[in-house]
Amino acid sequence: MFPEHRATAIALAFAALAPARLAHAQACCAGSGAVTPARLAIHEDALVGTTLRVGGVLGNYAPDGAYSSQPPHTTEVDVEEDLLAAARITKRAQVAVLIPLVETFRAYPGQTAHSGGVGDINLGARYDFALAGEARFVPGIAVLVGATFPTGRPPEEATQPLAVDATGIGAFQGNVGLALEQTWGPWLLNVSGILAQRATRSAQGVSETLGTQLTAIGALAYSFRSDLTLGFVGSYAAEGNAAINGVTDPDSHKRVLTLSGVALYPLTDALRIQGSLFLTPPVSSLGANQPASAGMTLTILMGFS
Amino acid sequence: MPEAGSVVLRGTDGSLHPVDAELRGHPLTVVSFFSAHCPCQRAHDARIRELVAKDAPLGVGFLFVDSEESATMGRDADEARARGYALVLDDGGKLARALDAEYATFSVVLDRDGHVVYRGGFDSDQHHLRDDRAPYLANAIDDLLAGRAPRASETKALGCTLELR
Repeated sequence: MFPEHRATAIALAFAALAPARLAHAQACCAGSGAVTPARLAIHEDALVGTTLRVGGVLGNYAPDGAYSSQPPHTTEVDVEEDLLAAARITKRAQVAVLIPLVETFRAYPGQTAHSGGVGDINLGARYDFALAGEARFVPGIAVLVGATFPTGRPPEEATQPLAVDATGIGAFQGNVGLALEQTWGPWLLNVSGILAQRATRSAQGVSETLGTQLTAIGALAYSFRSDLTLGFVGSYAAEGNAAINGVTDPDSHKRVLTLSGVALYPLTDALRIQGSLFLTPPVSSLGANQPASAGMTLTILMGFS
Repeated sequence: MPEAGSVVLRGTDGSLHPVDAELRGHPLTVVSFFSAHCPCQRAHDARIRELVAKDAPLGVGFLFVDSEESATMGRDADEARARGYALVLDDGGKLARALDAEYATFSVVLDRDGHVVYRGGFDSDQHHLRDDRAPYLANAIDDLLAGRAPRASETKALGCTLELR
């Protein structure tokens, strides 16, 4: 369960190079990073930062979309600390890396376990053909490409009870995406789509190919004169059925909706802090084969101009 | 792309301001690009007023230019009143294109003949202003008025993207 959840998280991480720029809806200054923060603001040459993400599982969606709460006395808490860095290659091109450190705490009746480790490392690149705010009616247009490497421990290699030391999906993943965004004074609207394809992997004599995943992300933000920016981000990830030994498993598709409220404040021209509260609405039919969770993120970034 | 001197700007009262005439009237002319909704621009309003108050009496001309597609005379008249410095409109962004302006607060200093003698940021700050900033534009004006080459003739402007289309 957790590694699949990670796949969605990685898609959102990849979107660091997508929606972004919450702060200063006018395409300026400190504002980078709505969905994830590893995106350079227009004048930045590089940035480094870290994100803490803590989420608790509320329940699970069955293959038919039926939602059920966690059983009594069952708890799962997922913690992730991401190390982020981005660098500008040309005026309109940037690259980013995300190194996740993943920890999982699970408690079932009569058993608890806690462990973690390095997750699947993501590399991404973004090219802006047009920047938001450059034109009155034509939005900013960016193409995203990325790759996620199976540097984490896949579930079948977990050795700890309750597989709490599983930190990755065990497969190479390639991503492509398109991001559109526009500003109107203090308002920003961003719409992005990301397509992810996972390579076939073998584990314990079984060949598995996860389905293609499509993640759609929308973000709306408003910047106040105090420099505080508040935003709302919605993401919907849908994944096709997996193939096991070349045979499609009809009940393995996944989908999940995540809603986030985001706040960003630039402490200085170089240092910014961002927090969010996120929720997978625990409503039947909004998900499938995925956990529903709620939690928060806190990000600190230092940019270099 | 037009020469900067051939561009005619428009005041918020509808008056016309040929750039070449503006240049001829001053030993140095500062052209600084303006964005009404840029927080970096807003942060610099007080510093802009201070610079005008200090250097206009020395003969330096100032043109604060709104090249953005959404600019209107009415809006900029209100902005000029609120901010305490005059604005002129650059219809079609001709002057911005002639001077390769892309960001708010990007500033250019031209001599009487229309030669660019400084281009870049107003200073080293974005919108969190610090006392220890590097006052790029003010330093360049001081140097040029003293007959020296600017200590930095090209710097980085840190304002918002100008809406030029």
